[in-house]
Formats: sequence, structure tokens, C-alpha cells
Amino acid sequence: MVKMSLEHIRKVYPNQTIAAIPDYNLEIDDGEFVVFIGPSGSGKSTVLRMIAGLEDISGGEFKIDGKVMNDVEPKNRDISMVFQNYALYPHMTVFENMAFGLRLNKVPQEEINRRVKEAAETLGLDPYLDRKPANLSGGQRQRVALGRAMVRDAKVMLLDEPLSNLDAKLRVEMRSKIGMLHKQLGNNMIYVTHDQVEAMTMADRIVLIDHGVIQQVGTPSELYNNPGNKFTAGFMGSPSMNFLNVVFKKDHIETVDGKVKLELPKYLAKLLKDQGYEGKEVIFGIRPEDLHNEPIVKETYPNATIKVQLDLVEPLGAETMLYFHVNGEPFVATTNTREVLRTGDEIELTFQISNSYFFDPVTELRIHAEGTEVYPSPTKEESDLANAKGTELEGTKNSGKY
Amino acid sequence: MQKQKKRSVAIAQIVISILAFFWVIPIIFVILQSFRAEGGQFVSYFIPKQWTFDNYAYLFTNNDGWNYGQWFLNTLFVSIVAGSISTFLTIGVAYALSRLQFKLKGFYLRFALVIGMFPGFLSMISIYYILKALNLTNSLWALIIMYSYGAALAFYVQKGFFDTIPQSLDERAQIDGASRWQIFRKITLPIAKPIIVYTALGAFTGPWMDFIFAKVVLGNNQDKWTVAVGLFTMVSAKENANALFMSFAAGSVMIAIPITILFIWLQRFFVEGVTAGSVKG
Repeated sequence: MVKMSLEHIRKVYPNQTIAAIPDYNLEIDDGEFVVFIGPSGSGKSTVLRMIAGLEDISGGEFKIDGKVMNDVEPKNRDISMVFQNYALYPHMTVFENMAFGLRLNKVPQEEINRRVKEAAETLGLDPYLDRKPANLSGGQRQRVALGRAMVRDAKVMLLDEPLSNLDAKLRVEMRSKIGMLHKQLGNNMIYVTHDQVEAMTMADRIVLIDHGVIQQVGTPSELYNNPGNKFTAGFMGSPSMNFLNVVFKKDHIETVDGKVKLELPKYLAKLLKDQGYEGKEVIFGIRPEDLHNEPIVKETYPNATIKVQLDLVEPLGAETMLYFHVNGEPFVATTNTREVLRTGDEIELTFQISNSYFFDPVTELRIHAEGTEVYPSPTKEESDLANAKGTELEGTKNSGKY
Repeated sequence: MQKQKKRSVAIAQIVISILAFFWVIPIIFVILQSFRAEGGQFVSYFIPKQWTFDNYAYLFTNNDGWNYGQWFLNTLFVSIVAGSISTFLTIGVAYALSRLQFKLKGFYLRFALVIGMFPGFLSMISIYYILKALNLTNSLWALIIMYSYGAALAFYVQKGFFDTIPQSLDERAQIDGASRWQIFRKITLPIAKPIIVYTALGAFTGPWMDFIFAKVVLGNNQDKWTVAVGLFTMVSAKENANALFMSFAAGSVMIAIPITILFIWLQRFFVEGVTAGSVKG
């Protein structure tokens, strides 16, 4: 049984005045598959490396089963790790690569043989055990890296963007393999990625990070359907959500110049009114799949239809992506129209307004009704300022340690 | 197209052949001289009129106190010991500078760069006096110290090589449970074989070929001489120059043999792409 907790974890790199990770709090339950996701440079790998022990923790406590692990050597943390670049030992065969850790831990030879063989069978590496990494394909190398982590039989498995170097087909294949592996091993897995398809498909829980600050933690569907702030709403989903600055007026929203006008259903108008946004600016967000050009939708929301000129049309087969501008803001619509559209065409698009989101223009928090549960995401100001808070001293203080 | 290619290849061949001819001539000359039976330093022909092995035999029969065998062993001893020490120091320092974080590292890197710009023999006189004060002159160990003291400053190429070994291999091994020493022994060293061979070759040939330091440190004690000092002395005295020139050539050929073998043997370690397949490239 492993329960991990990160309490007020902080990371300031030496000679830096800005914290890479200002204040990180997370509990991970036994057997959970947690995905850290965020744009590049968001600090997701830094947290992973602190858990692994490859990076010093500047502040806060990291515990496994209640025991503080901050200063415990990586080898004593009972973790295994898969690196983005595989990190195979080039002078060793596949077998030796997998056996290396076991040998260091003085596991008897028979046991080593058994475990390596087992892992090789699971991953389909049997025929390659005598080969050196140079003679393997990318996918095979990735599997060796996975196998190496598997034979350790560690309670926690850390995966740092393990699939980002594979081609699309292999990625799908390995994704399911890792999912299977997790079920089979039943250990904790922490998976870092910037690919939201990986996050959505594999995670029990997703931790969305930006600038080292947790934006939202929850199940994939929670993050997608119930975002706490504009960042989460914009990050989850592909293509990402469209945003438009509008003014709320009684029963409709309109752009400042009044050119675009969308009528709101009663309950949405009430929500905005109750939260005190009458006559004020709000950020209106709608996902590309909630924009339609079928006549039937137009009939449902006759007053939420606008005319647009298409900048670009991308037919993907099952669906077609339409790119255009609304009031100077770039918009995307994903439609499953059968109609043949061309760049430059002028069409009517209807907003399925009941699926829209509203955000405060200053805090960028989601505007929601009292009583509905929404993750307490940080405001924009909190995110922006968190890293700089009180770090100047720390940076110098820590710089001596390394 | 084809014709043009052939022509440029032919031109290259000719240029290389001419260059090779000029480079090989002196070597062939020395080898031929070492087999020449008739005496005299200056003769007007290239190929000996009479052939003999006597010049070689002379070196090892210890006539007139020219103790070539002893010099040879001295040189071998000094080169192997000094070479090993320097290699160890250079590789160790290069690894530490590439992998470890410590205070004044940046300063040391710059310091070494500046110091490295002075020719080594600048410090020769002062080191000679230091050794003299320590009562260490006239000994082979003094020479070994002389040859290896600078090794910790000549690490740039080696550090560059270590820098190319991905950090993630170290980290991976760390998680696997390896200590720093184990990482160095089991991961870094096997991967770094080519650079170690390169370093060792340099560290060995330096003392093997050196004349100037040996000349300063070893003084008049013939038994402690290295081959370079001994051979030079053999032909630098006027009365010997004519008679001993062929043996001098023989001695030069002899000294070149081990190092040639060494190069041929170690060459196979210079394989390219040792780190291939380690990380996604």
C-alpha cells in the first residue's frame, strides 16, 4: 500500500529569483494512475524529478506512506522511472540493461532471469534480449526502457513523457500497453505528458500545471466538462476552446462594438445576473464542437447565429475544421458537415449556447452558480505572482548547497 | 559528371602520394642507415652498400658504456607509470568537471584554460629547483612527477566527451541503485573507452618521445637516462658522431617499434558511435 503526499513542495533553482514550483500540494492514492499535464516549461517534469530524488526539494515535505522522503537517496525510495529519451546503457545488451538494477540490488541470478524473461514476454522483447540498443528500433528501445522499470517491481513508477519520441501509430499501441501494465502491476504510476489525448485516455486523475502552479486536479471528464478557470478550459480539448470578450446585457451578450450579438437561455442570463455581471464585461467561451452549421441547430437557437467568412477549411474525413475570426478573435469550429465548404465561403454558424462557459475577465475564474461544485482553481493573478513570491532570498540561500 | 569525379579523385591521389613520399622518406632513410655496415655520418648515397645487424647488436652489448637496454627499460618504466598517472588524473578531473557541481568550478575551468596557454617547459626551471630541494633530481620518479603534474589541467577534450554522455544515463543508474563510483565504473567508463584510449596514448607517447625534461632532470647519471637523452649524447660528442651514427639510427628505429605496435593495437578502440542507441537521437 503506497500513499504519496506532496505538501507545500517548493523548488527554486540555484541563483534564480523565481520559483520553478512555488507551492505544490497533492495526494496520490495507492494504485492510482496520475497524469501531470501542462505546457512545456510548466514544471511538471520538475515535480516528477523531485519525487524521483533527482532534484533537491527546496521546501515542503514529500512523503511516502507518511515517511518524509526529502533527503532519501533515489535508490531507497522504491521507485522506477522511464525517461523521455529512454536512457538505455549503450554498451549493454537488452538483457543486461534490464538486469542492471537487479544486479546492483544483489538479486540472485535465477530471480533476475525469471523477472527479465517475464517482462520481455509481456513487452514482446523475447527475440531481442541479446541485442544492443543501437540495433533496435525506436519502439523497441522504448519497450526496453519500460521493461527496465517493470523488473524493478517498484511501488511507484514514474514516466517522463515516455511516448513523445514515437510515431503516432506506435504511440497508440504503447498507450494501451502502459494501461495494461498498470492494471497488471497495480502500482502507483505518475505520468508526465503534454499530450492531452494520453492524459484523457490513461489517467485516473489529471493534474494540470502551468508555471509550476496547479490549475486543476480531477478526473479527465471533470477537467473537460467542469473547468475551474480559463486556463483549464483553454488547455483541455483539442482544438482548444474559443474565447470572446463580451458584455452581458439583460438577456444577451454582445461584443463591445455591438456587432456580434448572442441571446442567452434564461438560466444562463439568470446566472450572470445573480453573480453581478449585469452590464459588465465577461469572457465567453465555447468549444469548437459546439458550433454548428446544420439548419436544425439554427432552429433551436435562432438568436445565437452569426455570419462568418472562413479563413481556412480543413476536411479531416469524419469532421471538418473551420477557421474564422469573430470580432478579431480567432475561432475554430469542428463540424461534421457533409457540405463541401471552401476557404473564403461565407456561412452561418450557430452557437450551442447552453454548452458555453463564462469567465471573469480579471480573475479568469469560471463564473458558476452558487451551490454547483467547481474546482477552486487559482486566479490569474495568483498564478502570475506565485512564482515570484519571496524567492529572491531563497535563490541565494540555496545556491550554496549545490 | 563521372569523368569529372574520376579526375578529381586522381588529382587527390597524386597530391597524397607526393605528400606521403616526402613524409616517408626520412623514416626510410633512418631505417636504411640503421642497417648500413660501412661507417661515417655523412655519405653521398641513400641505399647502404653493405648490410648488417651489427648496429643493433652494438646497442645491446654495452660497449663503451652506452647502455641502450637500460635506457629502453627506463623509458618504458617512466612512460608507463607517468602515462597511467596522467590518464587517471585527466579522466578523473574531466569527469568531475563534467558531472559534479561544486564551488569555484567555473573559476577552475577558466584558470586551467589560461594556464594551459603557457608552454610546459616555462615551469621547467622552477620545478627543477623544487625537485632539487626535495632531493629528487637524478631519479626516474622525478621525471614521472615532471610528466604527470600537469595532467589535471589538460582535461578539455575529455570533459567535452563526457559532456556528450547523456545525463539521463547517470540518473537512470542512480535510480537503479548505483553509487557515484558504480556509475563511473560501470556506465561512464565503458562508454568513454575511446576517449580513455586517446588520453592514454597521448599520456604514454609524451614521456616516450620527450627529450627536454629528461635532459634537465636526469643529469649525468647514465644508468638513469632515457633513450632520447642517451641517443642524443651518443652522437653529440664529436669523436663519436661518425662511428655511432648507424647505431643511433638503429636506436631510433627500436624506440619507434613499441609505439607503432601500440597505435595499431589501440586503434580498434576508436570505434565510432559508441553511444548509439542510448537515447533517442
